[in-house]
Amino acid sequence: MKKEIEELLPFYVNGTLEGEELEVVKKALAEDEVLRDECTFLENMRDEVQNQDLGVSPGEFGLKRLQRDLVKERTTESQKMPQNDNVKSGVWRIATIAACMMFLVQTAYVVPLWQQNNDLVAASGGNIAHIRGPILSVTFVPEAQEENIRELLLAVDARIVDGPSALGVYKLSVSKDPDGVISKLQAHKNLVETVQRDGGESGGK
Amino acid sequence: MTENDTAFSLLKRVSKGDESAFADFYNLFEKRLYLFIKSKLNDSFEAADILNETFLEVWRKAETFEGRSKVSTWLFGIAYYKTVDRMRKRTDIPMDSDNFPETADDSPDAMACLLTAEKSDHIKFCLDTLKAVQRAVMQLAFFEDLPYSEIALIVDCPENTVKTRMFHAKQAMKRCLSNRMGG
Repeated sequence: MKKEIEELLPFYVNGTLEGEELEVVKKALAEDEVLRDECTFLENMRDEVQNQDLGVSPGEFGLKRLQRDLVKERTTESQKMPQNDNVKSGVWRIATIAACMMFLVQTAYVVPLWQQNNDLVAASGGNIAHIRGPILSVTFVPEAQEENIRELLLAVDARIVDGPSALGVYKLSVSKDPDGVISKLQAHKNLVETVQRDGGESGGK
Repeated sequence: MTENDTAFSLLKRVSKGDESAFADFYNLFEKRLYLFIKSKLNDSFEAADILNETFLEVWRKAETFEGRSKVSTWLFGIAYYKTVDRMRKRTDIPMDSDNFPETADDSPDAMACLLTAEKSDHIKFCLDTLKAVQRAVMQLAFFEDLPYSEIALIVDCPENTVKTRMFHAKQAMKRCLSNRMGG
């Protein structure tokens, strides 16, 4: 208990003790002479600390130094900002140039392919020559069997390249002699309902 | 208006970049803060450096102060941290060591020494021999007259540690004074 009181004494001496702790210390001091001596010792020590000469503080010089450092700090910050911006804009400039270059290369590669117009590939995987040939629009009779249609198309060397549409129209690519193919198709009335050359005359049942 | 109210209002203006408020804030605390730092470092140049660093930190972090403690507590806390950090760099001695010898000296010589007219030089000498953590607590308790709760916030340790450090500081002072009196 005595050590606890002793630990509180410095704060009794500096006047910051309050409440129950203050009462406990006051009571102990009234009863214990050794504690009163301790208190006197601490009061002397506090006086000395209060009166200690630690030299002259930086004062106005310190303030000037501080203000100089603030200016320096602000200057450094403002220099850093544009530098950062420059770095960022430099990166963006390089990225933009790279993107432009890539666009040009892609354009140079893709445009000639478009001009060749050979990007259409038959669903059957047939050769490009067929697709580039005449296109016929054909409808088949509802009773036509897939097996029979297949045999007919192979016989006339035609390929389905599109369809069926909602109306049941198929697009056929033929390699040569479209008129001959049309005639052959029209001859199979049990399979072919209508046939016509795209952009040309039609033939029907 | 209390000192804390004044300091808080200045700090608010500092947080908005008001340099004249910053100068007023500096003038309000500069001397006390310098003495606090110097009491631990015993080097006026280093103390001035840390004082400068502390106020620069205030300028940078004024807007982060939330008013949960007194402005002076916050300020002295920054200074304490910077001082301890500087001391760590220049020595291997752990600054938070509380392993002080327990040998109390209650000899009459020590007490008598303090009651003589020439006590001042002895006390100054002995204050300088205290460990940094003891001097910091002693300075805050006897120069700043702060309660132990506030000192605990500044030096970032439990309140009981503050009381113990103060107790050990007093014992060390008694021992030192006794030696100087040839006791």
